[in-house]
Amino acid sequence: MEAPAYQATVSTALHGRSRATPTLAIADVHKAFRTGVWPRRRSNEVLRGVSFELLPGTMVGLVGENGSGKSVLMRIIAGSLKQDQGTVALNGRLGYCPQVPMLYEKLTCDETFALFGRAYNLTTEDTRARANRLYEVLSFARFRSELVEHLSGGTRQKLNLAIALLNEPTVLLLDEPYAGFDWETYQVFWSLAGSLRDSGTTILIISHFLHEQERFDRILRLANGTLESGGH
Amino acid sequence: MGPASLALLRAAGKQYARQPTNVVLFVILPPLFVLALGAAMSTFSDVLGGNLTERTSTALAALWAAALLSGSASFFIVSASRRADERLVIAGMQRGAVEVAHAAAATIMASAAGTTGFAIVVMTTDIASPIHLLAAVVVGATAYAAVGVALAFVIRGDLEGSFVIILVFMFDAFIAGPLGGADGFWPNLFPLHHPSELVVDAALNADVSAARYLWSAGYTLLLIGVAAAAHKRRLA
Repeated sequence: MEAPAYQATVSTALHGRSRATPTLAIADVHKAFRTGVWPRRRSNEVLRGVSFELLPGTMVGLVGENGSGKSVLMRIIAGSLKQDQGTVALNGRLGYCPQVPMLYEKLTCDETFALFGRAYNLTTEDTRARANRLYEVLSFARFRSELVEHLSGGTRQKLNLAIALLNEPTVLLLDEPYAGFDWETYQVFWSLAGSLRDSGTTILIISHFLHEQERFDRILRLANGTLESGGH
Repeated sequence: MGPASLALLRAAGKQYARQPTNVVLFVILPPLFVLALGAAMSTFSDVLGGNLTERTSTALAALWAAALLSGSASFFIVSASRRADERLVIAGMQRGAVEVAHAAAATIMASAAGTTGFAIVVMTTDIASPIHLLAAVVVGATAYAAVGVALAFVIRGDLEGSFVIILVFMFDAFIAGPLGGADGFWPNLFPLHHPSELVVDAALNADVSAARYLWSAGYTLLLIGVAAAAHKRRLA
């Protein structure tokens, strides 16, 4: 059964915050992918009117079966994919950590930070200082001069996450950000996510693990192209 | 060029230089084509129905080396960075800055590849008009750079991309150009046809036809337009 378009609101009781302006507002987003060639051309409707709003200082889980459109929705919010219909309103700086690291394989970690620092419009000094903090927090400073192609999967994922955090975003989109992390880094990740949430960052995380769902302030469940329930 | 494009261009240069195959090809291909294959191509031309002299086929070899190098280099530069470029745009870099950086990288590759082949030809062969030869080689290399950029947005794999570039090049060099004595309208459809005719003119005569330049420039501009449209569509 298709659920109606859903307007998510975060309970003020959860964090004791007064209702604020949403940092992210998604309204009636539709997306279909066309495949094949005529006369066998067909359209696969992935999103059928997804709507929700997220407030500052909330950590929200986006869950759903494989192929339910979670990553597509996140790419639309990030701006790397255009929706067929609907609006995405972002209020603040965006940080996006894609599921598959989108990095320059033949640049070093330092060079990657420098290039993305330029894209975020940061000064060289700011980029260096923030990169140093991220190296320290995520414990991969010793790989700073290594080419990305030589990094292990976990370290590559740390860099992938660090790039999303470099501009100190107000809205953070994380598409399964901890794939390949060891247990210690996994714990560091959740601790970091918690402190970002507490400092007012809106975090939307795609997750597959049931045991993680307790960490979220609310759950958005995608099924049949729409949001199924309001979460807890 | 703004600082963002410059930073991306520097990154593209580093990535290209850090791929040893690229460097080896860049060093080996122009002398191999010009010195080893150039003269032999005049004999091959007789078989294919053309009538190239040793001088013209050596000059043409510089054009071929430059086209093949700049086409494949542009393909690899854009193809290798496609997804990361997308993320840079998400992070806030202007799409125009990414496009300018790729255009500059392709132009630099075309100029470098063209100049290298040209230098070897003028050092080893008596060319009637070196300036026209240089212009023709750079135009041909630029056309192939545009082909490489456009293909990078259509073809996913490196292997498939290389194969298509080589296939287009083989038709272009062996069938549509003066090597095979191509005649009629259809050879005009290939990127190297008019630059090849320019090269032959430049090798033999001090003067070349302005119409050849117009055709070459027009075709190259068309390819640049296609590459720019593919680029814009992909990053939009």
